Amino acid sequence: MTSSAATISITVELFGSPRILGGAKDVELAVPAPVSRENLIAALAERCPSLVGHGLRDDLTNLEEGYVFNRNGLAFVGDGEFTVEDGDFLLLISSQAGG
Amino acid sequence: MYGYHGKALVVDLTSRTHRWDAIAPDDLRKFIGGIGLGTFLLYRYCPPGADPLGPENPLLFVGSPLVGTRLTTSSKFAVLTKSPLTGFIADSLSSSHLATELKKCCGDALIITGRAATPTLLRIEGDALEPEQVSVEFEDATELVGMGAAEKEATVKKKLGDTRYRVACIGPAGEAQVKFASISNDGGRQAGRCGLGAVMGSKNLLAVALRGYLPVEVAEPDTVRSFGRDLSRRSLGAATEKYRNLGTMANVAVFNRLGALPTRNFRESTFEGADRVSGEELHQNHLHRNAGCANCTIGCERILVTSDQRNKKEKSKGGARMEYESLFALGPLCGISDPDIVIRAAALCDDLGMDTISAGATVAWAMECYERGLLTRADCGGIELRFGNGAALLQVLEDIGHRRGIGNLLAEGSRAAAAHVGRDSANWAMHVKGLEMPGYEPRSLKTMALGLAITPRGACHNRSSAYEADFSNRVDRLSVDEGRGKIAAESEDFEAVLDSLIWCKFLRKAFHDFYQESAQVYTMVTGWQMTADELRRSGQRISNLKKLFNIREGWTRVDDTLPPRTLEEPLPNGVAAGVGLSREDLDFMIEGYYRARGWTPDGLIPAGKLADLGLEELAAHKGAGR
Repeated sequence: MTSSAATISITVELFGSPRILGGAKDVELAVPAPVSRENLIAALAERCPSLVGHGLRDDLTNLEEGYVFNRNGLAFVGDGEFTVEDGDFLLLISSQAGG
Repeated sequence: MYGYHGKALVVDLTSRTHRWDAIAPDDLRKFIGGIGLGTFLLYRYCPPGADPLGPENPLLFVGSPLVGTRLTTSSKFAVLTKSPLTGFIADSLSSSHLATELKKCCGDALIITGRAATPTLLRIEGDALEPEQVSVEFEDATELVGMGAAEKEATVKKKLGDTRYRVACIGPAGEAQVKFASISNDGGRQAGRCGLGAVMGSKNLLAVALRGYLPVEVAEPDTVRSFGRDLSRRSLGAATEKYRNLGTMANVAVFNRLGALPTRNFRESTFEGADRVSGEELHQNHLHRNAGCANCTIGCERILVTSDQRNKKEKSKGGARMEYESLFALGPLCGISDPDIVIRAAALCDDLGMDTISAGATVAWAMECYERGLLTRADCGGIELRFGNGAALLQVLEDIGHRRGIGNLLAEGSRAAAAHVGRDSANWAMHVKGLEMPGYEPRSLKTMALGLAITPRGACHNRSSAYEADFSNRVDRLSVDEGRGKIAAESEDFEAVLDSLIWCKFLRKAFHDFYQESAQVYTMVTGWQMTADELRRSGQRISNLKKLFNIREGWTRVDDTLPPRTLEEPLPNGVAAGVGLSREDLDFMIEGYYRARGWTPDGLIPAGKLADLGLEELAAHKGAGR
C-alpha cells in the first residue's frame, strides 16, 4: 500500500482473540493524517468490524481495557500519547503479559 | 478460629506416627498462608544443611485462609521443601479440590518427614476440627510402582473405594528421583518446579489421599458471599480475557514478535516456526476443551489433542493440558514446530511427572551439546539429539523419566549435567541457582532479567512478575536504569502476598485495589482486622524470609546472576537483534535491588531489617523441628 500526502500507511498486527475474530494476522490501513488514536481505531473497526467489543471499545474512542498497542515491536503506547509514522507496524495485543 | 485451624498435622514416615503441632495466631497472621506460611514452617522444620533427598528434609503441603471459601480462584495450595535441584527453597503452587480436603483434614499444613521403608500410600481422613478423630494410615503402595501419574491417581481412588478422596501423587520420574520431578493432583495439575516430586520419591511416598467432611467456616459468611459474587463478575471482564480465550498459549506469537521468545536454548529470541505452535493455531486446530480449577471462574486451561486424536475422535482418551511455559519449553526452545510433537511431549511430561520447563530446557542444553560434538550419538543411545528432532525429544523425555541411558544424566538437571560434561557446556546451561529458565528472554526484557537473577527459588516467572514493567510503557525494556531494583522488589512482595492468600495470578488485574480489597477479604474470612499496609509488610517479610532460608543454606552473592550466554552473546535476530545484557548492567540492577530491599551490598539482610520485619527471633532459630 502506498500513502498519499493526506494519508499514511499503518499495518496493524493482530494477536490472540482479535487475530481469530479478525480472520487475519495483520491489516493494512490508510489513515488520514495527522493520525489520532480515534481515527486509527475507526479505520480498523471499518476493516474488521468483528473487533468492536473484542479489543476495540464500542464507542471506538480507545482500545478496551486489557488491550494495548505496541509500536514496531519495541515501545508500548500509553494512553496519554499516540505517535505513529508512515510505514509503522502497530501490534494490538493483550496487556496481560503473564503465563 | 475462622480461616485457620492453628495447627498442622506432622506425619513421620519412618516411625509411622503422627502428631499435631500448634501454629501461633501471630505467626499465621504474619505469614498469611500458602507460600508465606510454608516458608515459615520450612525454616522451622528443615534442619540447616539438610540433604534434600534425605529423610530429614520435610515436604510441606500448605493451605491458606481463603481455601474453602469458594471465592473465585482460591482453591489453591502450596508445596514446599528444600530443592534437590537448587539446594535452596523450593516452593510451588497447585490448585483444585485437593486444597479443600487438605484444609479440612490436615489443618493449616501437612508436614511430612522421614522415609518409609517400602512404597507407601499415605491416607488421611477426618476433620482437623476434631483432631483425635483424624485417621492417618500408612498403606502398602507396591502395586502403584511404575504407574503414570494419571493411572496412579485413578488406582488410588479405586483402591480406597471413594472418588471423593483427593490425591497427590508422583509419576515414574518422582520414583526415580529425577531432580525436576513434579507432584500431580486432581487429574494432572502439577506442583511443577524445583523437584518436589523427587523429594516425595526419596521418601518412598507414592501418593497422598485426603478426605475431610466438615465445611470450612468463615467469620462473616454473608459479606464473603457478597464480595465473592462481585469478584466473580469482575473476573469475567476484560482484565482476564486473554486467559479465558486462548489461555497463556497466546504468549507465543506476541513474545516472538517482541523478540522475547527463547528459541533453541536461548541462542535466539524469535522462532521461524512460531506460527505453527502459536496459541492461535493450537486454539483453532487442536483444542479439545477448556478446563479450570475448582472454584475458578476464569478457566485458563486448554486441553489439546493431536491431529490423530482429533481425526480419529479419540479425544475422550485424554489430550494434554497446555500452557505457555510447556509450549515454549517443548517447542521453540528445542526448535520444535510440530504441534503434535509438543502436545505429545507435554502429555508425556505430565504422566511421567516432570516439570516441563526444566525438562525442555535440559533437553535443549543436551541438543546444543550434541550439535557442538560434546555428546555423541553413542552417548545418546543412538538418538540424533538435534534441535528440531521431535522423535528425539519424545524418546529422551521417556529416558529421563525412567533414568535410562542419557536420561540418567539429564535427570540431574542442566547445571549438574553441564558439570559432568564440562568443556564450557555450563555457558549454555540456562538456569539460575540450578533452576531452569522460564520463557522470558532476559536480554530483551531487562526488568525481568533482574527478576530472574534474584528470585530465591531460582529462575522463575511466578515469584517475580517484573516482566509486567517490560510489557508496558513504564520502562524501556531494552535498556537498564536504577529504578528496576524497586520494581523487582515490589513485584516480588506483591507475588508473595498473592501466593500466600492464595489468589490466582490471573485474577490480579480484577482488583480495584489489590491490597485494600485483599485485606478486607482477610478480615471477612478470619475475623482478624487486617490492613493494606500490614499485608504489604507481610509481603516484604515473606520475601526476606525466603532469602534468609537461602542464606542459611549457603547462598552467596554469586548465586544472584544469569547464565553466561545471556551476559556474553547479543541476540542475533528479530526485533531485538544486537541487543545484549552486560554483566555490569546486571550487577548495576542487582545493586539497586539490594538497596531497595535495605540489604547490604553483598545481598545480606542486616539485623535491623530483620528486627523491623519481626524476623529476628526466627533468624536466631536454626530450624529443625519445633
